[in-house]
Amino acid sequence: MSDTIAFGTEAWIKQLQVELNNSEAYAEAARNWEGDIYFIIKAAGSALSEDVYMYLDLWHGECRQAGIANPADFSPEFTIAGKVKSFKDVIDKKTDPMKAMITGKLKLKGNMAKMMRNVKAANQLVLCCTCIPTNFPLE
Amino acid sequence: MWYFRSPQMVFGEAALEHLDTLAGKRAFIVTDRTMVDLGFVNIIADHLQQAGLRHAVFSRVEPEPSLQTVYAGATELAAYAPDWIIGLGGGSAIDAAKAMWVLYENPDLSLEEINPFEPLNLRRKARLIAIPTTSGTGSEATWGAVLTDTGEQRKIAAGGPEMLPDIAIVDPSLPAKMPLRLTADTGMDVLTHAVEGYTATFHNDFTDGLCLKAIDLVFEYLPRVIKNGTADMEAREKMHNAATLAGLGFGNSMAALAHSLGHSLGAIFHVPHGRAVGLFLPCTIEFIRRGETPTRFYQISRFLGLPAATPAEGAESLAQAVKELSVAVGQPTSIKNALNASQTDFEAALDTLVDRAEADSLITMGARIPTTAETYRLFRYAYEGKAIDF
Repeated sequence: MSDTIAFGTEAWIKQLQVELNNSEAYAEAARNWEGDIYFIIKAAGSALSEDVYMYLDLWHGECRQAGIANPADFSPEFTIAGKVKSFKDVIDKKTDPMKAMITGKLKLKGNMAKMMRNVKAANQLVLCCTCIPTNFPLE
Repeated sequence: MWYFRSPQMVFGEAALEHLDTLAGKRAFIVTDRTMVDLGFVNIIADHLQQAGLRHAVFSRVEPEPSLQTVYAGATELAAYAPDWIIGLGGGSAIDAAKAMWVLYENPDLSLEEINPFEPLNLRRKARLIAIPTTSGTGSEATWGAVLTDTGEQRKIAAGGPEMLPDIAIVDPSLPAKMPLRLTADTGMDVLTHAVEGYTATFHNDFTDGLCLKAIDLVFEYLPRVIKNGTADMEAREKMHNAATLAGLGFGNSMAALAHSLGHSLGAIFHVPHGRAVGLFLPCTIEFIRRGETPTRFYQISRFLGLPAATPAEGAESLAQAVKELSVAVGQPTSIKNALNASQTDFEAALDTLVDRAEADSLITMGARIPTTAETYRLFRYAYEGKAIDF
């Protein structure tokens, strides 16, 4: 576990920022993307004591800001919320992210028309998540 | 976790008689002018009368239905307040009916907001019957609706699981006199649905058999329909069933790259949907099989009895078989033969073609997702009809 980063921590989301900004594929796929996101990790059924809000500011293929936030710190354009296990299944590539959202394992809120035109960018973002050696705070 | 969804399927000779048994007060038929002229709307109306339902007709759906048409139809639909909506026609009419239904139940929603992630709360006011008159889109068995934003020259894939029709009536008498060119276009659409449904990342045990059966039926019966036309009703019926089987197959897995490229070409150059996706199918088989992720094309080839000693050989066999089928049924095998446009026009549109293809969510559903540079190359190779070698 020592070589892994705990999911839902400042270190993890900062590492995701690094991965995104090092990814040529993400930069290309998200070149037209403007919008920030909260990943809301639900504490229920996990070792977390409370819900965690991970914030990403994504702008034309670059991640300009990343960090753990309080719910009221930002009003991001999108939120993706789910249990630790649901995020784990996606990051472990056991579940396709689109499937996770269609089946309600991950709940997406925001401008859906915009999201549907940028699935390729979302796909690259998930791939960057999979590059992070991660341990998950499961119960 | 995943779901398998299907309408109640009514199929075979005289399947339309199922309409006689409907319970309700009012039905709203969404269709196009050709269906009126062919007398199909009157046939449906007679059945509805048998069931004691009144009806109204919206017959202004155009090929590749626009957002404006859907909004106009939804206004008339809301005024009539039916408890049944009937999509009668090809995929355009059925897709338009699905989208109008969503607006009827959710008057404050815009079409661009329809997505598979949020509930639409359908069936509070009406239910949907789909009656295909072409053998292609499989829209009667899927929850998607492809609409066209004519202002932006963009196809919009509007869909949510609730948009699956309640009943699909697959009556072989309806496509019997379909023009041969339309038969070939729609037949290639069936094949593309089935191949992509079998190979897309969402493929599953529940859809594999449907896709393989549909592929088998297309290779056997599409050339027969093109050769014999109306005289071969068995072949017509098999192709009609194949379209719905493929719809169920890809509707419960997913379509992929050939569709994203085809949607883009269709939106900008107005190439019929089936012709466009069929044109890209062999290119995308060749492209995807060269990726790092193992593919399943060779399994299709083995099922068809094509050479498939290795996965690569199987994929190449399938691509070749698709090309040969296209030629046999008179379909173009290159963009330049499919377009009424010069190479200059094509090159001028290339940036937009790539942009539109990349904005189509289906581009991520194959075993290999092209980079932007590869998408340019795919279009250029397809323009010339060159085999993909990258």
